[in-house]
Amino acid sequence: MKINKNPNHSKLCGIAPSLSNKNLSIISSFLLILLFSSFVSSAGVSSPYWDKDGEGNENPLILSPGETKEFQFILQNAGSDQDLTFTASVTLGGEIAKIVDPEDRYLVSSGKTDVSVKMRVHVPKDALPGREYKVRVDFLSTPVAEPGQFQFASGYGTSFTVKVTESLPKSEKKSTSRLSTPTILLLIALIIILIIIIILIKKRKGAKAK
Amino acid sequence: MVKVKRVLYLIVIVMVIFTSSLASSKFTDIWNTITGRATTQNVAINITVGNSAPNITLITAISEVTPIEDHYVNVSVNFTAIDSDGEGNLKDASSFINITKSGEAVRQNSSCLRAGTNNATSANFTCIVQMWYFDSSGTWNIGAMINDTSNAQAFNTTHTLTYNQLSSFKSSPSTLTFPSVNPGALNTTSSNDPLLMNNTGNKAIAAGSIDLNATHLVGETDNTKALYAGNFTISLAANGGIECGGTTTNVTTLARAVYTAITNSTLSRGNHSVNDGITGQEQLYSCLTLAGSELSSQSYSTSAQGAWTLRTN
Repeated sequence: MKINKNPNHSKLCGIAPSLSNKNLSIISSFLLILLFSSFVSSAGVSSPYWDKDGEGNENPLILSPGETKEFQFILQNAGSDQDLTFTASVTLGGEIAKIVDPEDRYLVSSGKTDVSVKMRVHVPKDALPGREYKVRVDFLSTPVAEPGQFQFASGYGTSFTVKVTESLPKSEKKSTSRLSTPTILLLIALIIILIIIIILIKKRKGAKAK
Repeated sequence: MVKVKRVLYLIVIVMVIFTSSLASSKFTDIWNTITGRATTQNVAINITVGNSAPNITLITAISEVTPIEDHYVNVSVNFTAIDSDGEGNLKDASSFINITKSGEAVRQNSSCLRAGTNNATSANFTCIVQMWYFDSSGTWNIGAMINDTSNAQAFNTTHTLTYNQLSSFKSSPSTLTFPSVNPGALNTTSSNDPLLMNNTGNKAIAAGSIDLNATHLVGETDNTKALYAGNFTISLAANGGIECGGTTTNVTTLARAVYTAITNSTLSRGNHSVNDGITGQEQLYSCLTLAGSELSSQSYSTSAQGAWTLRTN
Protein backbone atom coordinates (compact mmCIF):
# COMPACT_ATOMS: atom_id res chain seq x y z
CA MET A 1 0.00 0.00 0.00
CA LYS A 2 1.16 3.57 -0.57
CA ILE A 3 0.66 6.73 1.41
CA ASN A 4 0.58 10.18 -0.14
CA LYS A 5 2.88 12.38 1.88
CA ASN A 6 1.49 15.61 0.56
CA PRO A 7 -2.28 16.01 0.76
CA ASN A 8 -2.05 19.08 -1.47
CA HIS A 9 -0.13 17.22 -4.14
CA SER A 10 -3.05 17.33 -6.56
CA LYS A 11 -3.34 21.13 -6.36
CA LEU A 12 0.33 21.56 -7.18
CA CYS A 13 0.13 19.45 -10.30
CA GLY A 14 -2.72 21.22 -12.03
CA ILE A 15 -2.06 23.01 -15.33
CA ALA A 16 -5.25 23.20 -17.38
CA PRO A 17 -8.11 23.21 -14.84
CA SER A 18 -10.54 20.94 -16.64
CA LEU A 19 -7.96 18.39 -17.70
CA SER A 20 -5.77 18.70 -14.66
CA ASN A 21 -8.64 17.93 -12.28
CA LYS A 22 -9.33 14.72 -14.10
CA ASN A 23 -5.66 13.75 -14.29
CA LEU A 24 -5.05 14.67 -10.69
CA SER A 25 -7.99 12.67 -9.63
CA ILE A 26 -6.50 9.63 -11.36
CA ILE A 27 -3.06 10.35 -9.97
CA SER A 28 -4.49 10.86 -6.54
CA SER A 29 -6.42 7.60 -6.64
CA PHE A 30 -3.37 5.75 -7.87
CA LEU A 31 -1.09 7.13 -5.24
CA LEU A 32 -3.41 7.09 -2.31
CA ILE A 33 -5.07 3.76 -2.66
CA LEU A 34 -4.18 1.19 -0.04
CA LEU A 35 -3.96 -2.12 -1.73
CA PHE A 36 -4.26 -5.19 0.42
CA SER A 37 -2.88 -7.87 -1.84
CA SER A 38 -4.28 -11.08 -0.57
CA PHE A 39 -5.51 -14.29 -2.17
CA VAL A 40 -8.69 -16.26 -2.34
CA SER A 41 -8.20 -18.56 0.56
CA SER A 42 -10.19 -21.74 0.83
CA ALA A 43 -8.71 -24.49 2.88
CA GLY A 44 -9.61 -26.62 5.82
CA VAL A 45 -8.84 -29.34 8.32
CA SER A 46 -10.91 -32.43 9.01
CA SER A 47 -10.83 -34.23 12.34
CA PRO A 48 -12.32 -37.54 13.53
CA TYR A 49 -12.80 -36.14 17.06
CA TRP A 50 -14.15 -32.76 18.02
CA ASP A 51 -15.41 -30.61 20.85
CA LYS A 52 -18.79 -28.99 21.03
CA ASP A 53 -19.15 -26.62 18.12
CA GLY A 54 -21.62 -23.76 17.74
CA GLU A 55 -24.42 -26.34 17.60
CA GLY A 56 -23.33 -28.37 20.64
CA ASN A 57 -22.17 -31.23 18.42
CA GLU A 58 -19.23 -33.25 19.83
CA ASN A 59 -17.31 -36.49 19.40
CA PRO A 60 -14.78 -37.14 22.19
CA LEU A 61 -11.91 -39.63 22.07
CA ILE A 62 -12.48 -42.29 24.73
CA LEU A 63 -9.43 -44.13 26.05
CA SER A 64 -8.51 -46.32 29.02
CA PRO A 65 -5.57 -45.57 31.34
CA GLY A 66 -2.33 -46.54 29.58
CA GLU A 67 -4.00 -46.74 26.17
CA THR A 68 -2.53 -45.10 23.05
CA LYS A 69 -4.44 -44.03 19.96
CA GLU A 70 -3.12 -42.80 16.64
CA PHE A 71 -5.32 -41.01 14.14
CA GLN A 72 -5.08 -38.47 11.35
CA PHE A 73 -6.18 -34.96 10.64
CA ILE A 74 -6.78 -34.33 6.95
CA LEU A 75 -5.64 -31.07 5.34
CA GLN A 76 -7.51 -29.78 2.32
CA ASN A 77 -6.91 -27.09 -0.26
CA ALA A 78 -9.78 -27.56 -2.66
CA GLY A 79 -10.70 -23.98 -3.38
CA SER A 80 -7.52 -21.91 -3.29
CA ASP A 81 -5.87 -20.82 -6.45
CA GLN A 82 -2.44 -21.32 -4.91
CA ASP A 83 -0.50 -24.03 -3.16
CA LEU A 84 -0.52 -23.66 0.61
CA THR A 85 1.89 -24.51 3.36
CA PHE A 86 0.30 -25.62 6.61
CA THR A 87 1.91 -25.67 10.00
CA ALA A 88 0.42 -27.58 12.90
CA SER A 89 1.00 -26.99 16.58
CA VAL A 90 -0.48 -28.56 19.69
CA THR A 91 -1.48 -25.59 21.81
CA LEU A 92 -3.35 -27.48 24.55
CA GLY A 93 -2.97 -31.00 25.94
CA GLY A 94 0.65 -31.40 24.88
CA GLU A 95 1.24 -33.71 27.86
CA ILE A 96 -0.80 -36.47 26.19
CA ALA A 97 -0.97 -35.51 22.52
CA LYS A 98 1.70 -34.92 19.93
CA ILE A 99 2.10 -34.78 16.20
CA VAL A 100 4.33 -37.63 15.14
CA ASP A 101 5.17 -36.69 11.55
CA PRO A 102 8.87 -36.02 10.95
CA GLU A 103 8.16 -32.65 9.29
CA ASP A 104 6.21 -29.86 10.93
CA ARG A 105 5.26 -28.19 7.63
CA TYR A 106 2.84 -29.67 5.14
CA LEU A 107 2.66 -28.63 1.51
CA VAL A 108 -0.92 -28.89 0.25
CA SER A 109 -1.11 -28.27 -3.47
CA SER A 110 -4.12 -26.54 -4.95
CA GLY A 111 -6.90 -29.11 -5.37
CA LYS A 112 -5.50 -31.62 -2.87
CA THR A 113 -7.88 -32.83 -0.16
CA ASP A 114 -6.03 -35.73 1.44
CA VAL A 115 -2.84 -34.60 3.11
CA SER A 116 -2.67 -36.30 6.49
CA VAL A 117 -1.25 -35.12 9.80
CA LYS A 118 -0.65 -38.00 12.19
CA MET A 119 -1.38 -37.48 15.87
CA ARG A 120 -0.67 -39.81 18.78
CA VAL A 121 -2.58 -39.56 22.04
CA HIS A 122 -1.37 -41.50 25.08
CA VAL A 123 -3.26 -41.56 28.36
CA PRO A 124 -0.97 -42.16 31.37
CA LYS A 125 -1.42 -45.44 33.25
CA ASP A 126 -2.19 -43.58 36.45
CA ALA A 127 -4.91 -41.39 34.92
CA LEU A 128 -8.11 -41.73 36.89
CA PRO A 129 -11.26 -42.88 35.10
CA GLY A 130 -13.56 -39.92 34.57
CA ARG A 131 -10.70 -37.51 33.95
CA GLU A 132 -10.93 -35.37 30.85
CA TYR A 133 -8.07 -33.85 28.89
CA LYS A 134 -8.58 -30.98 26.46
CA VAL A 135 -6.47 -31.10 23.31
CA ARG A 136 -6.24 -28.24 20.86
CA VAL A 137 -4.31 -28.16 17.59
CA ASP A 138 -3.91 -24.96 15.59
CA PHE A 139 -3.35 -25.22 11.87
CA LEU A 140 -2.08 -22.22 9.97
CA SER A 141 -2.05 -21.96 6.20
CA THR A 142 -0.05 -19.46 4.19
CA PRO A 143 0.40 -19.22 0.45
CA VAL A 144 3.58 -20.66 -0.97
CA ALA A 145 3.83 -17.92 -3.60
CA GLU A 146 5.87 -14.75 -3.04
CA PRO A 147 4.23 -12.62 -0.37
CA GLY A 148 2.28 -9.66 -1.65
CA GLN A 149 2.08 -6.24 -0.11
CA PHE A 150 -0.44 -7.37 2.42
CA GLN A 151 -0.59 -11.04 3.13
CA PHE A 152 -3.46 -12.83 4.77
CA ALA A 153 -3.09 -16.26 6.32
CA SER A 154 -5.87 -18.53 7.51
CA GLY A 155 -6.00 -20.37 10.80
CA TYR A 156 -8.13 -23.32 11.83
CA GLY A 157 -8.37 -24.21 15.48
CA THR A 158 -9.52 -27.75 16.20
CA SER A 159 -10.07 -29.10 19.67
CA PHE A 160 -11.35 -32.31 21.19
CA THR A 161 -11.74 -33.92 24.59
CA VAL A 162 -10.03 -37.11 25.67
CA LYS A 163 -12.21 -38.93 28.20
CA VAL A 164 -10.62 -41.56 30.40
CA THR A 165 -12.75 -44.61 31.08
CA GLU A 166 -12.16 -47.75 33.13
CA SER A 167 -10.57 -50.70 31.38
CA LEU A 168 -12.99 -53.52 30.74
CA PRO A 169 -12.47 -56.33 33.28
CA LYS A 170 -11.39 -59.61 31.72
CA SER A 171 -14.64 -61.27 32.77
CA GLU A 172 -16.61 -58.70 30.76
CA LYS A 173 -14.62 -59.27 27.62
CA LYS A 174 -16.52 -61.07 24.95
CA SER A 175 -16.20 -64.83 24.98
CA THR A 176 -14.50 -66.23 21.95
CA SER A 177 -16.04 -69.69 22.37
CA ARG A 178 -18.41 -70.65 19.61
CA LEU A 179 -19.91 -73.74 21.32
CA SER A 180 -23.32 -73.37 22.93
CA THR A 181 -24.01 -74.63 26.47
CA PRO A 182 -26.22 -77.61 25.44
CA THR A 183 -23.58 -78.79 23.01
CA ILE A 184 -20.89 -78.63 25.69
CA LEU A 185 -23.11 -80.60 28.14
CA LEU A 186 -23.80 -83.23 25.52
CA LEU A 187 -20.10 -83.61 24.77
CA ILE A 188 -19.30 -84.00 28.48
CA ALA A 189 -22.05 -86.62 28.89
CA LEU A 190 -20.82 -88.57 25.89
CA ILE A 191 -17.25 -88.54 27.17
CA ILE A 192 -18.37 -89.81 30.61
CA ILE A 193 -20.46 -92.57 29.03
CA LEU A 194 -17.56 -93.57 26.81
CA ILE A 195 -15.25 -93.78 29.83
CA ILE A 196 -17.78 -95.94 31.73
CA ILE A 197 -18.20 -98.27 28.75
CA ILE A 198 -14.43 -98.66 28.40
CA ILE A 199 -14.13 -99.46 32.12
CA LEU A 200 -16.95 -102.01 31.92
CA ILE A 201 -15.46 -103.69 28.86
CA LYS A 202 -12.11 -103.93 30.60
CA LYS A 203 -13.75 -105.45 33.70
CA ARG A 204 -15.61 -107.96 31.55
CA LYS A 205 -12.41 -108.98 29.80
CA GLY A 206 -10.72 -109.30 33.17
CA ALA A 207 -13.53 -111.50 34.46
CA LYS A 208 -13.34 -113.76 31.36
CA ALA A 209 -9.61 -114.09 31.77
CA LYS A 210 -10.11 -115.34 35.35
CA MET B 1 -22.40 -110.09 34.56
CA VAL B 2 -25.84 -109.12 35.74
CA LYS B 3 -24.39 -106.02 37.35
CA VAL B 4 -22.75 -105.01 34.09
CA LYS B 5 -26.00 -105.37 32.21
CA ARG B 6 -27.81 -103.30 34.82
CA VAL B 7 -25.25 -100.52 34.50
CA LEU B 8 -25.55 -100.57 30.70
CA TYR B 9 -29.34 -100.36 30.92
CA LEU B 10 -28.98 -97.46 33.33
CA ILE B 11 -26.70 -95.64 30.91
CA VAL B 12 -29.12 -96.12 28.04
CA ILE B 13 -32.03 -94.78 30.13
CA VAL B 14 -29.97 -91.75 31.23
CA MET B 15 -29.05 -91.03 27.61
CA VAL B 16 -32.66 -91.24 26.45
CA ILE B 17 -33.83 -88.84 29.16
CA PHE B 18 -30.90 -86.52 28.60
CA THR B 19 -31.29 -86.29 24.85
CA SER B 20 -35.05 -85.87 25.16
CA SER B 21 -34.44 -82.75 27.26
CA LEU B 22 -32.55 -81.25 24.33
CA ALA B 23 -35.56 -81.61 22.08
CA SER B 24 -38.18 -78.90 21.82
CA SER B 25 -40.90 -81.01 23.40
CA LYS B 26 -40.95 -82.37 26.90
CA PHE B 27 -40.62 -86.00 27.85
CA THR B 28 -44.14 -85.94 29.30
CA ASP B 29 -45.61 -84.59 26.09
CA ILE B 30 -46.37 -88.11 24.90
CA TRP B 31 -49.52 -88.01 27.11
CA ASN B 32 -50.67 -84.83 25.40
CA THR B 33 -50.64 -86.17 21.86
CA ILE B 34 -53.14 -88.15 19.83
CA THR B 35 -52.11 -91.73 19.66
CA GLY B 36 -53.44 -94.81 17.99
CA ARG B 37 -53.81 -95.88 14.45
CA ALA B 38 -55.01 -93.27 12.01
CA THR B 39 -58.25 -93.79 10.16
CA THR B 40 -58.00 -94.08 6.41
CA GLN B 41 -59.50 -91.19 4.45
CA ASN B 42 -58.99 -89.51 1.05
CA VAL B 43 -58.17 -85.83 1.34
CA ALA B 44 -57.77 -83.39 -1.52
CA ILE B 45 -54.88 -81.06 -0.79
CA ASN B 46 -54.41 -77.76 -2.65
CA ILE B 47 -51.15 -76.08 -1.80
CA THR B 48 -50.28 -72.57 -3.01
CA VAL B 49 -46.65 -71.73 -2.52
CA GLY B 50 -46.48 -68.05 -1.36
CA ASN B 51 -43.88 -65.45 -2.25
CA SER B 52 -40.94 -65.18 0.11
CA ALA B 53 -39.90 -61.63 0.95
CA PRO B 54 -36.30 -60.78 0.15
CA ASN B 55 -33.76 -60.14 2.85
CA ILE B 56 -30.78 -57.76 3.08
CA THR B 57 -28.12 -59.64 4.95
CA LEU B 58 -25.00 -57.55 4.66
CA ILE B 59 -24.19 -53.86 4.33
CA THR B 60 -20.63 -52.72 3.84
CA ALA B 61 -19.68 -49.06 3.91
CA ILE B 62 -16.74 -47.05 5.09
CA SER B 63 -17.23 -46.38 8.80
CA GLU B 64 -15.67 -42.92 8.76
CA VAL B 65 -16.22 -40.33 6.05
CA THR B 66 -14.21 -37.13 5.64
CA PRO B 67 -16.13 -34.24 4.08
CA ILE B 68 -14.56 -32.31 1.21
CA GLU B 69 -14.56 -28.56 1.62
CA ASP B 70 -17.09 -26.63 -0.43
CA HIS B 71 -18.06 -29.82 -2.26
CA TYR B 72 -19.67 -33.19 -1.82
CA VAL B 73 -18.08 -36.54 -1.13
CA ASN B 74 -19.23 -39.75 -2.75
CA VAL B 75 -20.03 -42.40 -0.15
CA SER B 76 -20.09 -45.92 -1.57
CA VAL B 77 -22.43 -48.41 0.11
CA ASN B 78 -22.64 -52.10 -0.86
CA PHE B 79 -25.29 -54.55 0.26
CA THR B 80 -26.19 -58.17 -0.31
CA ALA B 81 -29.82 -59.13 -0.95
CA ILE B 82 -31.15 -62.68 -0.73
CA ASP B 83 -34.41 -63.97 -2.14
CA SER B 84 -35.23 -67.63 -1.63
CA ASP B 85 -37.41 -67.45 -4.75
CA GLY B 86 -34.28 -66.76 -6.77
CA GLU B 87 -32.02 -63.79 -7.33
CA GLY B 88 -33.94 -63.01 -10.50
CA ASN B 89 -36.89 -62.19 -8.27
CA LEU B 90 -35.04 -59.14 -6.91
CA LYS B 91 -36.20 -55.94 -8.54
CA ASP B 92 -32.93 -54.08 -9.26
CA ALA B 93 -34.67 -50.80 -10.03
CA SER B 94 -36.07 -50.67 -6.49
CA SER B 95 -32.69 -50.94 -4.78
CA PHE B 96 -32.22 -47.89 -2.62
CA ILE B 97 -29.90 -46.43 -0.01
CA ASN B 98 -30.52 -43.52 2.30
CA ILE B 99 -28.22 -41.95 4.87
CA THR B 100 -30.05 -40.06 7.56
CA LYS B 101 -29.50 -38.05 10.71
CA SER B 102 -32.12 -36.33 12.79
CA GLY B 103 -32.65 -32.73 11.69
CA GLU B 104 -30.64 -33.16 8.50
CA ALA B 105 -31.60 -33.45 4.85
CA VAL B 106 -31.85 -37.08 3.73
CA ARG B 107 -28.98 -38.16 1.50
CA GLN B 108 -30.06 -40.97 -0.80
CA ASN B 109 -29.64 -42.81 -4.05
CA SER B 110 -32.52 -44.65 -5.64
CA SER B 111 -30.64 -45.94 -8.64
CA CYS B 112 -28.20 -48.44 -7.23
CA LEU B 113 -26.45 -50.87 -9.51
CA ARG B 114 -26.26 -54.64 -9.33
CA ALA B 115 -22.60 -55.34 -8.72
CA GLY B 116 -22.88 -59.08 -9.26
CA THR B 117 -24.71 -62.29 -8.51
CA ASN B 118 -23.38 -64.52 -5.74
CA ASN B 119 -25.49 -67.63 -6.33
CA ALA B 120 -29.01 -68.67 -7.30
CA THR B 121 -30.60 -66.65 -4.51
CA SER B 122 -28.21 -63.82 -3.69
CA ALA B 123 -26.91 -60.68 -5.38
CA ASN B 124 -24.75 -57.67 -4.48
CA PHE B 125 -25.70 -54.04 -5.05
CA THR B 126 -23.61 -50.85 -5.00
CA CYS B 127 -24.89 -47.34 -4.35
CA ILE B 128 -23.14 -43.99 -4.39
CA VAL B 129 -24.60 -41.37 -2.08
CA GLN B 130 -23.45 -37.76 -2.10
CA MET B 131 -22.86 -36.12 1.27
CA TRP B 132 -22.30 -32.36 1.31
CA TYR B 133 -19.71 -30.24 3.06
CA PHE B 134 -22.39 -28.67 5.26
CA ASP B 135 -23.94 -31.95 6.42
CA SER B 136 -23.70 -32.28 10.18
CA SER B 137 -20.77 -34.13 11.70
CA GLY B 138 -21.54 -37.18 13.81
CA THR B 139 -23.29 -40.52 13.42
CA TRP B 140 -25.52 -41.09 10.39
CA ASN B 141 -27.76 -44.14 9.86
CA ILE B 142 -27.54 -46.16 6.67
CA GLY B 143 -30.76 -47.68 5.36
CA ALA B 144 -30.74 -50.23 2.52
CA MET B 145 -33.91 -51.32 0.73
CA ILE B 146 -34.95 -53.55 -2.14
CA ASN B 147 -38.24 -55.02 -3.40
CA ASP B 148 -38.89 -58.29 -5.13
CA THR B 149 -41.07 -58.61 -8.20
CA SER B 150 -44.11 -59.03 -5.94
CA ASN B 151 -43.19 -55.79 -4.21
CA ALA B 152 -42.36 -57.52 -0.95
CA GLN B 153 -39.76 -55.31 0.68
CA ALA B 154 -36.49 -55.88 2.47
CA PHE B 155 -35.14 -53.09 4.66
CA ASN B 156 -31.95 -53.09 6.69
CA THR B 157 -30.92 -50.25 9.01
CA THR B 158 -28.24 -51.95 11.06
CA HIS B 159 -25.31 -49.86 9.84
CA THR B 160 -24.04 -46.39 10.69
CA LEU B 161 -21.18 -44.18 9.59
CA THR B 162 -19.39 -41.27 11.24
CA TYR B 163 -19.22 -38.06 9.25
CA ASN B 164 -16.13 -36.23 10.46
CA GLN B 165 -15.90 -32.59 11.35
CA LEU B 166 -14.42 -30.21 8.77
CA SER B 167 -13.18 -26.82 9.89
CA SER B 168 -12.89 -24.78 6.74
CA PHE B 169 -13.67 -21.39 5.26
CA LYS B 170 -13.13 -19.30 2.17
CA SER B 171 -12.47 -15.56 2.33
CA SER B 172 -12.80 -13.01 -0.44
CA PRO B 173 -12.30 -10.56 -2.13
CA SER B 174 -8.70 -11.17 -2.96
CA THR B 175 -7.83 -7.54 -2.29
CA LEU B 176 -8.95 -4.97 0.26
CA THR B 177 -8.59 -1.40 -0.81
CA PHE B 178 -8.60 1.90 1.07
CA PRO B 179 -8.97 5.12 -0.91
CA SER B 180 -7.12 8.38 -0.40
CA VAL B 181 -5.24 7.92 2.82
CA ASN B 182 -3.27 10.99 3.82
CA PRO B 183 -0.95 11.36 6.81
CA GLY B 184 -3.02 12.13 9.85
CA ALA B 185 -6.24 10.88 8.22
CA LEU B 186 -8.95 9.63 10.56
CA ASN B 187 -11.52 6.88 10.06
CA THR B 188 -10.80 5.77 6.53
CA THR B 189 -13.09 2.91 5.60
CA SER B 190 -12.28 0.24 3.08
CA SER B 191 -13.75 0.87 -0.33
CA ASN B 192 -14.41 -2.74 -1.29
CA ASP B 193 -15.37 -4.51 1.90
CA PRO B 194 -16.95 -6.56 3.32
CA LEU B 195 -14.41 -9.28 3.58
CA LEU B 196 -16.81 -12.15 3.02
CA MET B 197 -16.20 -15.41 4.86
CA ASN B 198 -17.99 -18.50 3.56
CA ASN B 199 -18.15 -21.59 5.74
CA THR B 200 -16.96 -24.36 3.42
CA GLY B 201 -17.02 -27.02 6.13
CA ASN B 202 -19.50 -28.42 8.63
CA LYS B 203 -18.22 -26.86 11.82
CA ALA B 204 -20.53 -24.18 13.13
CA ILE B 205 -18.43 -21.34 14.48
CA ALA B 206 -19.90 -19.94 17.67
CA ALA B 207 -20.27 -16.22 18.39
CA GLY B 208 -16.93 -14.56 19.02
CA SER B 209 -14.96 -17.56 17.75
CA ILE B 210 -13.51 -15.81 14.71
CA ASP B 211 -10.35 -13.93 15.56
CA LEU B 212 -7.72 -11.95 13.76
CA ASN B 213 -4.01 -11.68 14.48
CA ALA B 214 -2.74 -8.38 13.06
CA THR B 215 0.73 -6.97 12.57
CA HIS B 216 2.06 -3.49 11.91
CA LEU B 217 2.32 -2.65 8.22
CA VAL B 218 5.90 -1.46 8.05
CA GLY B 219 7.29 0.91 5.44
CA GLU B 220 9.26 -0.93 2.78
CA THR B 221 11.60 1.99 2.11
CA ASP B 222 11.68 3.57 5.56
CA ASN B 223 11.03 0.85 8.10
CA THR B 224 10.85 3.32 10.98
CA LYS B 225 7.35 4.22 9.89
CA ALA B 226 4.33 1.97 10.04
CA LEU B 227 0.58 1.74 9.96
CA TYR B 228 -0.09 0.35 13.40
CA ALA B 229 -2.22 -2.73 13.93
CA GLY B 230 -3.98 -1.01 16.81
CA ASN B 231 -5.29 1.62 14.41
CA PHE B 232 -7.39 -0.89 12.48
CA THR B 233 -10.89 -1.90 13.50
CA ILE B 234 -13.17 -4.67 12.28
CA SER B 235 -16.94 -4.59 12.43
CA LEU B 236 -19.85 -6.75 11.35
CA ALA B 237 -21.69 -3.80 9.87
CA ALA B 238 -20.97 -0.66 7.93
CA ASN B 239 -23.18 2.35 7.78
CA GLY B 240 -21.83 5.87 7.82
CA GLY B 241 -18.51 4.76 9.22
CA ILE B 242 -19.81 2.81 12.24
CA GLU B 243 -17.15 0.22 11.51
CA CYS B 244 -14.68 2.78 12.83
CA GLY B 245 -16.35 2.98 16.24
CA GLY B 246 -19.00 5.39 17.34
CA THR B 247 -22.33 4.09 18.54
CA THR B 248 -22.09 0.45 17.56
CA THR B 249 -20.78 -2.07 20.06
CA ASN B 250 -19.79 -4.57 17.38
CA VAL B 251 -16.47 -2.94 16.65
CA THR B 252 -13.24 -4.71 17.44
CA THR B 253 -9.96 -2.88 17.69
CA LEU B 254 -7.08 -5.05 16.56
CA ALA B 255 -3.79 -5.50 18.34
CA ARG B 256 -0.36 -6.53 17.14
CA ALA B 257 0.70 -10.19 17.23
CA VAL B 258 -2.23 -11.45 19.29
CA TYR B 259 -5.46 -13.07 18.24
CA THR B 260 -8.28 -10.63 18.88
CA ALA B 261 -11.76 -12.12 18.87
CA ILE B 262 -14.05 -10.27 16.51
CA THR B 263 -17.01 -9.33 18.67
CA ASN B 264 -20.19 -11.29 17.92
CA SER B 265 -18.81 -12.78 14.72
CA THR B 266 -20.26 -16.18 13.81
CA LEU B 267 -20.05 -18.56 10.90
CA SER B 268 -23.05 -20.82 10.84
CA ARG B 269 -23.09 -24.24 9.19
CA GLY B 270 -25.04 -24.27 5.97
CA ASN B 271 -25.13 -24.01 2.23
CA HIS B 272 -23.38 -20.68 1.72
CA SER B 273 -24.40 -20.58 -1.95
CA VAL B 274 -27.78 -19.32 -0.71
CA ASN B 275 -25.75 -16.11 -0.41
CA ASP B 276 -28.08 -14.35 2.03
CA GLY B 277 -25.26 -13.03 4.19
CA ILE B 278 -26.30 -15.30 7.04
CA THR B 279 -26.37 -18.95 6.00
CA GLY B 280 -22.78 -20.12 6.27
CA GLN B 281 -21.54 -16.56 5.86
CA GLU B 282 -20.02 -13.71 7.84
CA GLN B 283 -19.16 -10.22 6.62
CA LEU B 284 -16.32 -8.18 8.05
CA TYR B 285 -15.90 -4.45 7.50
CA SER B 286 -12.59 -2.73 8.12
CA CYS B 287 -11.50 0.75 9.02
CA LEU B 288 -8.16 2.51 9.44
CA THR B 289 -8.98 4.81 12.33
CA LEU B 290 -5.72 6.72 12.18
CA ALA B 291 -2.92 7.10 9.67
CA GLY B 292 -0.08 8.69 11.60
CA SER B 293 0.87 12.21 10.61
CA GLU B 294 4.52 11.13 10.53
CA LEU B 295 3.95 8.72 7.64
CA SER B 296 5.81 9.18 4.41
CA SER B 297 4.80 8.31 0.89
CA GLN B 298 5.98 4.74 0.44
CA SER B 299 4.71 1.19 0.35
CA TYR B 300 3.63 -0.43 3.63
CA SER B 301 3.38 -4.18 3.85
CA THR B 302 3.30 -7.26 6.07
CA SER B 303 6.71 -8.34 4.83
CA ALA B 304 8.52 -7.23 7.98
CA GLN B 305 6.18 -8.52 10.67
CA GLY B 306 4.31 -11.31 8.94
CA ALA B 307 0.86 -11.93 7.55
CA TRP B 308 -2.40 -11.12 9.24
CA THR B 309 -4.13 -14.34 10.23
CA LEU B 310 -7.87 -14.82 10.16
CA ARG B 311 -8.78 -17.83 12.29
CA THR B 312 -11.85 -19.83 13.24
CA ASN B 313 -12.02 -21.71 16.53
